[in-house]
Amino acid sequence: MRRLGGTLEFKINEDEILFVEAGGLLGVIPSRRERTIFMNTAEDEVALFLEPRDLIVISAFRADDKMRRGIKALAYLLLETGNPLVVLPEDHPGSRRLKMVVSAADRVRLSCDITPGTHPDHHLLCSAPALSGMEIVSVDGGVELLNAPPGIRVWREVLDW
Amino acid sequence: MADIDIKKMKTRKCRCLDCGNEFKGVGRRVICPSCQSDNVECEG
Repeated sequence: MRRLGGTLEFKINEDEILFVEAGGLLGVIPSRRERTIFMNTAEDEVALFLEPRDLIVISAFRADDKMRRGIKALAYLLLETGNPLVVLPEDHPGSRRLKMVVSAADRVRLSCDITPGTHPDHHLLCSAPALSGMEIVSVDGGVELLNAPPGIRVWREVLDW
Repeated sequence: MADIDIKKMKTRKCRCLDCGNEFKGVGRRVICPSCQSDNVECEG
């Protein structure tokens, strides 16, 4: 970890996920290569074409070991099996049961002021309140965390799949 | 589980000039999801 003013910089190796914990839990994985993630609704399908520099960020609203393993499981489904993301319409009764949401872009901003599953800008991701306002920016070999809150806990784990 | 409203996303309608597959996509580097060809034509 390197601290540059209010910015924290972390390396992420090829086979690793970076976890960020503060109230909620985030899993950050650099795409590293071109990939396609499919997003599906009842009526439509959209292909999201990722570039090597893009990040896949999974946000869980609770921080415990179940969520940590859930984030890795969701990453496996998306990145290894090619399972699509299922997108629920606004006000769908199932939205309140969501435990995790996903964003993919080269810069992701966290916000607790949006309703999970409803935001049109895919660089804006719903998070636990403590992480709101933080930005995750892709840099060579890792990520920068801008406006990281105090007391944040960050660690890397090997994606052993 | 995506944090988006898919109807408000700026998607582009694309067509693969090799296999004829039609699809909607987001991103700069578009390839055909069916045959992986980059010989793709997109609107807009």
